[in-house]
Amino acid sequence: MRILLVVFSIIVLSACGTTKVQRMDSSETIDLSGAWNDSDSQMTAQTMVADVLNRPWINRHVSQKGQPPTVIVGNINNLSHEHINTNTFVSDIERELINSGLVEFVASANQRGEIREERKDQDLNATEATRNAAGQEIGADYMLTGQINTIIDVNDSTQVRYYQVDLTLISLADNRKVWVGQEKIKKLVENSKLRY
Amino acid sequence: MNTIINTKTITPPFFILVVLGFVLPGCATHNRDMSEVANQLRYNLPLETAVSKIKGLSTDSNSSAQYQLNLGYLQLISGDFTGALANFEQAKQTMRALDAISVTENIAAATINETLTSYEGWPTDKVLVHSMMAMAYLLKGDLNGARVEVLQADVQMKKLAKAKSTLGQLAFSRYFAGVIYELNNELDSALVSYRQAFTILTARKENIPKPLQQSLVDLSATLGLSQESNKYAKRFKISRSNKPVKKQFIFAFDGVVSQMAQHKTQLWWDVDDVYLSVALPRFNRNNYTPNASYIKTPTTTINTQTIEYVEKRAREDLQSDMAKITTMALARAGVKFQSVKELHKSDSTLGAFANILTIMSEVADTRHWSMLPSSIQVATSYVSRPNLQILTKFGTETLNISGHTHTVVLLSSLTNKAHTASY
Repeated sequence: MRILLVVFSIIVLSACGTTKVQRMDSSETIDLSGAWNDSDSQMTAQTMVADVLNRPWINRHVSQKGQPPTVIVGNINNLSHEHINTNTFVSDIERELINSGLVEFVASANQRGEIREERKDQDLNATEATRNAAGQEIGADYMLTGQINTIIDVNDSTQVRYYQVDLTLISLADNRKVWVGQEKIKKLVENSKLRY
Repeated sequence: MNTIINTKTITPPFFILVVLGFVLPGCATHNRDMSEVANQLRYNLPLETAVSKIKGLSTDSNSSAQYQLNLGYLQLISGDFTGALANFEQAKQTMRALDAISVTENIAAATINETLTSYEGWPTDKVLVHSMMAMAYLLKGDLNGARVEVLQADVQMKKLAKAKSTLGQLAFSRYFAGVIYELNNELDSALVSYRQAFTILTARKENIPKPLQQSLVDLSATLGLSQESNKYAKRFKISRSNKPVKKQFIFAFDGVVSQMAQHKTQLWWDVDDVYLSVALPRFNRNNYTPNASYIKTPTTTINTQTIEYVEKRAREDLQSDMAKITTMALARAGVKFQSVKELHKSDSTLGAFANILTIMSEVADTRHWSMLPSSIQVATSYVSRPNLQILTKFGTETLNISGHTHTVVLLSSLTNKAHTASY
């Protein structure tokens, strides 16, 4: 009878569960599955932007052209084992670069299309005083491209996840690579072998 | 005046047994309903009806991964790629979370039956879910998404290979990875994947389908490995194809996999010197014969060839677990026998009722990815015209393949709809 009571309790209890929500600071690092997360994206962007801004290409550009370089973000390819939303990573990089005040940024190819449509619309509908004319865009001096790669080694419930983010800044005038940055993240993920 | 009322109280064990009697059949019903839809699909149930029938089933939390796999597959072949991806993703996450051994579920399995455990997927499911997702991404036009799934399938296959060398090693998944790498112009990775598919099929002594033969010959030559290319050419008795301008990769899902069934048998229980009745899962005899689809090219007609016998993989998965399942079933029957004996001593009515319940509760766990095709077939054509003519059991269909270099085509014997994506 005791066995029956235990079994019955297990069946009933295994159906119990509640949803709990807790608000937290967005800068707090929380690793749940070991996969690429917001903290990885933010930290990689900060480290790589700090590196790109401390390299000689920026001073060289300013001394040659007399103004800060204008940058555009190109494709950041996800070649990893995970479905990584590269848009958040790109946004993190853009934010860090713009806030540094050392470079200027122009809209990406996708954003440009929308803005040009709006300008066309202004041409038809906005007053002359507020209208923005076409042909006044600033051309970018450099394009930032890159890729995210991973190597995963797995054994039973343990995984080693290695992420490598490669970014390259290319001069649009002559295709010169003026900066190559690399950031590596290595995580050891140990999943529990038992669950409730 | 005091009135004495004779009341008969319901004893706790009796109450528990009654509740169990109501609870237990529910676990098996869910699986039975899905198997029924799968069986109807074999006999011309329209795909759309099958999708609505599956959607209409109540989801049992223990079998959520099985439900999502089944629904996801039907959505994939009916062209709802977004829906398919959502369900496959959930199933993938659930199966991953269930990698850890559950204490409570194992106690329940050891004392009542194994349908009380969560469906964690067979080795074939764990790999194939990635390939099915890759297919959905590819047909949605997201080559990068498909590539991610291919990499995840690779990790899963390596993980399974460490446990048991052949389980979960799918030639289709390797070949499909090769196609995705080829579409992404990563020819070296594509050749590695084609080689892996070849190794799996050779180890299983299964036929190497012509598209794989041709890819091995062509890619090794393209990458400057002429010795390897010649070796393949000699073995397969084919020559290197002229560098094609346009290439079509055709995948055909044929049939519906056999349904796992329950069979009752008697096993000797040494402890009490009795034969005990146990329920075990099994597949009935494999009567499946692959049906090919045909692709008409200007010069010849090509037929699809089997790269993965899912029927065999499903049986191999079950076979590899049969010793464990049988041991567990016998131990469980022994525990039940002891409990009934003890109850019978204290109360013969309760003992008799418990005996009925133990018989009722002895149910085999027959859950599996029941909507899977019986076989996965492939073909490759090199048609430079804007149209591709395909002949299936539903008749001839002309597909528009203009404007792109490579096209992926998905056919299924369950629907006359062909899905294409060009790259």
